[in-house]
Amino acid sequence: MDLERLSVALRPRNSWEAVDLGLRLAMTHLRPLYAAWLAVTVPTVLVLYLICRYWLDNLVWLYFFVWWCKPLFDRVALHVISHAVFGDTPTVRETLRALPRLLRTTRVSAGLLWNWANPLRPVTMAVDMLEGLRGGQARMRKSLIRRRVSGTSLLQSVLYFWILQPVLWMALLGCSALIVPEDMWPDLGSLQDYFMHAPMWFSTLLYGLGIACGLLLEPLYVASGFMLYIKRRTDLEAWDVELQFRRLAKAEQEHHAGTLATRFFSLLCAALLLATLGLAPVRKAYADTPTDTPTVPLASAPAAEREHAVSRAPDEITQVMKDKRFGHTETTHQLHWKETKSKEKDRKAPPWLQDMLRSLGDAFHGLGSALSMLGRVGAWILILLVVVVVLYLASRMGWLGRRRASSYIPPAELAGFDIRPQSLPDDIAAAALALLAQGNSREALSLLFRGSLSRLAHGEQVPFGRGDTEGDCLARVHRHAPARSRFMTRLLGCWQRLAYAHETIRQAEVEALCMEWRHEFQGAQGA
Amino acid sequence: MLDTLRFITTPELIEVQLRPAGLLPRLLAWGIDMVIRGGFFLAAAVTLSILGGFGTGIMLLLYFFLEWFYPVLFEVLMQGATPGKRALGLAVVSDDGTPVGWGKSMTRNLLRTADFLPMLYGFGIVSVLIHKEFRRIGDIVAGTLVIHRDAHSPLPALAEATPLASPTPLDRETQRALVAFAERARSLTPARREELAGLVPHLARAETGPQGAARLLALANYLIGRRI
Repeated sequence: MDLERLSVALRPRNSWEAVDLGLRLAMTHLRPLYAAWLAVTVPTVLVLYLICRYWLDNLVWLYFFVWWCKPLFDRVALHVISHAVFGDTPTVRETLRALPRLLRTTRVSAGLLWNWANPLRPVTMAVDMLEGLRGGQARMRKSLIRRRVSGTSLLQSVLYFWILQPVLWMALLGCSALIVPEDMWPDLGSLQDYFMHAPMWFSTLLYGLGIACGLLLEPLYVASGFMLYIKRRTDLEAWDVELQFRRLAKAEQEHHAGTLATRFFSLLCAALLLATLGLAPVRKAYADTPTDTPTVPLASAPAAEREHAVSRAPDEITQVMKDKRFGHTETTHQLHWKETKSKEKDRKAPPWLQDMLRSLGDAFHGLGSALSMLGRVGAWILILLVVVVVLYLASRMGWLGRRRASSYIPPAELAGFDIRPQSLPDDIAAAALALLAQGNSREALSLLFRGSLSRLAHGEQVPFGRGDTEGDCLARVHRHAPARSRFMTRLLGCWQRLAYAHETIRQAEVEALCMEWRHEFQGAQGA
Repeated sequence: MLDTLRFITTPELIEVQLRPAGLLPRLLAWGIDMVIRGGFFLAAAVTLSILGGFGTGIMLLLYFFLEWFYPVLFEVLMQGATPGKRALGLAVVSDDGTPVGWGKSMTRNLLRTADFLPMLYGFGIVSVLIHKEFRRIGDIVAGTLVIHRDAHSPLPALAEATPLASPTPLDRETQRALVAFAERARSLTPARREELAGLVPHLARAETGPQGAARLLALANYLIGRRI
């Protein structure tokens, strides 16, 4: 066995981790595994179906036949998985070609007869299939292999066959019950009738789904069982240590070869140097050639000797077990109380106790109804409280409708301008014209813009945000006061040309803006 | 190499291994929890039935809390494990290996509903099967992971031998392999031990001192700090 070709990581694992890894392995090789699996099982099931349908006329048999054939099918799945572990996943054709050999050499008859109900089947099947042992040796080997993993193996069999499969079956049946129209669904009395005397289409559906579940789960079951086997062998034979050692030996060999080459090379250089210089007589350079490379054969006891030891073992064990230290019977004497027979009379409670119990029961009942009354009141109060809290939160968060206009408070400053009305002169247009007359067109325009924003925010309730820029302000004016947007666009254009582009604005233009401002906003103020 | 590990590197550049748990152990843990929950509910129902309608009300409330908060409470308060998970040595952790908090636990358990679809945990089973770290939908959404918490075997005791210092320095790989060998040596047959030692003649053979497996054991004993 070439452990270096293994495609699963070897490390000490607990049994459940091994089962998990088995599932991962099956899922990574899903396609080749199920292709080979279905290529064998589906034709078999079809043939069995025809037999059961037209000859036996009851599909219960089909379910049993398929169930019974499972050890046979398992060998196909194990064939694929055990090859996949070593990195050469067989194709469907290769698996089919291997089928006759699998049927002949893997103790199929035992598997189908007395080994059929063995819950540790997938673990021990690997011994039958991969180790090729026979008779007593195989038995001993199997008992060794399953010693530490039997619990997990048993539990996983239970999980697969008594939990997962029925659950999956029921789920699929439930799904099909949702699809099949209600009046087509057969109305049979007992559960037994559903399984035994239903119409043929229903039996086909029922058992078809059951068989499908079984066939879908079986490769996973085999894979996790096989990984338990691998875990057990890893534990028994320290496969992971072997891999590590092989890697070390390889590295050492390469290293050794490397140092030999360098040593040889340096000696050669030295020799050449001496020869060319001619200062000393040329000595022959001997590189210590690797004649003594240790090649230790793998120490394994000769087969015959081992055979002999194995055959002798049972006698030796019985000899040893005869020793007194390994158990013997002991007779001890102890005193016990005689068991007194309880009299029938005592069983019956005296009338006063019965009365008491009855009154106690009544009291409990009364207590229950009182508590339930209390609970009911409490629950209503709780519900009321919840409603109030929700309403309160809703009003706090402003979920109840849009914000009312009156609740809007304009910010004190906008785009760098103070827009509080009290910070502005009463007649803004006049003030701007006065500033303009002093030749201060920048101040004049700024005042106009500031004034318009203030009027828009306080008079017309345009919802400016605290961090709005001039552009944002204009956009809001477009949306909320479209009548003013034309004027504001012009005003802002002028202002930006002056403030940022440092252009000179003609005085007449600013004057016109002042006039227009008066026209636009003075009326609004008056209203 | 196929394995079922998740590696996490801490900010200190220490690599931590998490060992995610797959479908079957989780299914079994769930089954155990189901039995515990059912038993508790049944016992409570019998006791509460003497209180009449009030008892029924409490029972329904109890059912609700058991259904939704039994896993959450255990996962958050009892180191990430419900009794069923504890029995199998499993635990729920965040996918970075830290313990789960209320938010994550609530999320993964509320999403049981999604995993339960279309029938009887159909999506959950499929998700656990195809996900590399065996996560169901709730785990994926909440960013949690069910792991094997218990050590795979009880702490191994190194076979005792007279410690022996290696004449040449050993690199880390070699040291690790030697210690692994010494840890496993007790469970191996003597023949197998020698066979393994035969694979590394440069370590196992020397001019003086013990030879073969005994030499490897002596080296390993020195490596873990035992001195004469």
